[in-house]
Amino acid sequence: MPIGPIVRAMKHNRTRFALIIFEIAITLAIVTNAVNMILAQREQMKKTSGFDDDNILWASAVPFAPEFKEQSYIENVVMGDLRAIRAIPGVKAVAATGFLPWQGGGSSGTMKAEGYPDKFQAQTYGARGDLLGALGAKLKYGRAFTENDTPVDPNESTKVCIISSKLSEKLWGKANPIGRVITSTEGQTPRTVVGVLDEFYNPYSWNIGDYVRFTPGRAYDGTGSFYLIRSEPGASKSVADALEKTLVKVNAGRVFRVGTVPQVKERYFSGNTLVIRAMTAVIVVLVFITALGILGITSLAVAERTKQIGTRRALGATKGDILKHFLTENWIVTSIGLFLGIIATYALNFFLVSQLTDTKMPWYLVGVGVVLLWLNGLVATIPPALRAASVSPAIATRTV
Amino acid sequence: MLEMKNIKKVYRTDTIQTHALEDFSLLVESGEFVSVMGPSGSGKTTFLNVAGLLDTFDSGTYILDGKDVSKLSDSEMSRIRNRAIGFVFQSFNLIPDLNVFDNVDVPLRYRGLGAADRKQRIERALDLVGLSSRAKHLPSQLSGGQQQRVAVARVLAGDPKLILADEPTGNLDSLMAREIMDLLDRINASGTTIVMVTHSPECAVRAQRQIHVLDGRVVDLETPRISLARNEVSAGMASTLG
Ligand SMILES: Nc1ncnc2c1ncn2[C@@H]1O[C@H](COP(=O)(O)OP(=O)(O)OP(=O)(O)O)[C@@H](O)[C@H]1O
Ligand SMILES: [Mg+2]
Repeated sequence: MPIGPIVRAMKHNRTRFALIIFEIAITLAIVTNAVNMILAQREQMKKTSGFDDDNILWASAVPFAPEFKEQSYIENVVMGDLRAIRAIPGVKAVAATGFLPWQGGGSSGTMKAEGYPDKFQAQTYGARGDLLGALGAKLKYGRAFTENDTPVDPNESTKVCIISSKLSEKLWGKANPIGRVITSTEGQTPRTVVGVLDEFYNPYSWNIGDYVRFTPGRAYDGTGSFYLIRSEPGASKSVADALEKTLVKVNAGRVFRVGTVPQVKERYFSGNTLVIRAMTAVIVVLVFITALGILGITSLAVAERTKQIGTRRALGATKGDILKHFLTENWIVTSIGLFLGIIATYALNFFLVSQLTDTKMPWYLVGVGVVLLWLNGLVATIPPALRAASVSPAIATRTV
Repeated sequence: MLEMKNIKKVYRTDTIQTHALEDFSLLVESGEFVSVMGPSGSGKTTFLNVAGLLDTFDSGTYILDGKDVSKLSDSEMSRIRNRAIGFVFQSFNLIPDLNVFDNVDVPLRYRGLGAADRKQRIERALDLVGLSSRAKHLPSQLSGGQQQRVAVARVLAGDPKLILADEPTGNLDSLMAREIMDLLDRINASGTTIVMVTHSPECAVRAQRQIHVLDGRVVDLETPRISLARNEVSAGMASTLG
């Protein structure tokens, strides 16, 4: 194909081609960065908690009866709740705890650890009952809590804890940490590590999603109690239906709420889902607009050059030559646009990484974007190029 | 060179049928210079389109350079237009975005000639029409007469057997028209067959033979009226040119 004269002729229509080049460059930059954002969001959503999320339910009970001012009364009711929930058909395990997976937060504290120079921050939750069973979590080292781990006197602090393996590694490296001690920042309330959770993740600010310390403490008082319940696979629905009735039977002086962890997780990721939807819409609209732009401008060029096309046909161009002419022209424009687009892509990504916590642009994504937009341009050029190829050579002798 | 028998060409639009050529028969020998005259709408351009394989016809036979062209494919016709025929149009039909050199190059590229061969042909053709110094000019930077000379150079570079010209001087004043006619004369003298449609009697008489078309038919292939007209016109032209 004669690229030389095509390029020289294109220089006389700079504005028209500059417009498409600009459009293609911008589209590549935005589309690749949007895809990159979608991939980053999907990556976040792929994180696992380490728990049997699909089969975990939660229930909360907030008392209104005046008897709930008395500690022994509260203790009796919670123990009754745990027994009653455990007896519901389809329930595998239950715990009274302040922890709710995928809540996007919880409670945390600053602590110190034996042999670790700095203070550190970690999530911290009390739990009674079968915490590991209720989460479907596995231990890497040590043992689960027993009833004896919780002091009889509610004012006495707990003596042991279970931590996540990531926290253990941060504090003491790969070694088995059982027997090590974690204290308050002032060195008070020592708690000996008795168990290490194989896997734990609960999204939290300050990047402490992987760090947790569970204690066998009482995560309930006069303001209410909270339970995590793990059901047999497929029994989630029937357990959810039975929960409130069961708890009412134990003590009716309370308001109950019941939900599932999959619902909590969905709510937590609704922002990501929204970003993904919005970015997808941006991509579709931009690619469509670019295709329309190329289609429109090429159609215009063909309509404007009907006489010229007829003349070329008269001078010996075949239909294929005319088709190739417009495809070559588009190929040149698209290639320049994509070349500038690659630069714009990295510039935009650099900006986004510095402004937001966006991820760096992987080169393969740019490659895929280039190929797709290149094909997009080709497809958009074909209809007007075919129209050009069907111009009759007899147009050449027509005097207008 | 060109032999048409009973060619019929009908243009059909939604509302009307136009019989543009009706039993059109014509024989043009190799090396002839023939002019075609006739009133507006008589079918001259239609004839040229058919002769130049720019358009198809409905019935009749057309032998071009010893070859029946009625059953050729579109790309075979392109090939013949490209190699055997040269066109000169009333409105020059140069590509506005290409300079003079590239314009002359257009048909040579479609022929697939090598760069050196093309360059030599283009330079020789531009030299023949006296426009070597304008090779880098755009058509818009040239006068009408110069543009038509570029178009003639485009034909010359291709070295065709047959030149078809549709009112090549129609958009030119008489001085420029004479330049073009001189060029065509010289080309014809070197053996190229030329068929030229024209409204201008001055130009028509420069051909060896004049043909008249009326309502899509050739009339009075050789009449004394034309040789008479030739004398009158020559006299008329002599006076305009002073
Ligand atoms: N593409 C077309 N569609 C329909 N009718 C056409 C077409 N081209 C030509 N005609 C008709 O065919 C007839 C012959 O037209 P043609 O262009 O051959 O005339 P012409 O002798 O070249 O006229 P002029 O001297 O004005 O150039 C006219 O009636 C014209 O209207
Ligand atoms: Mg005409």
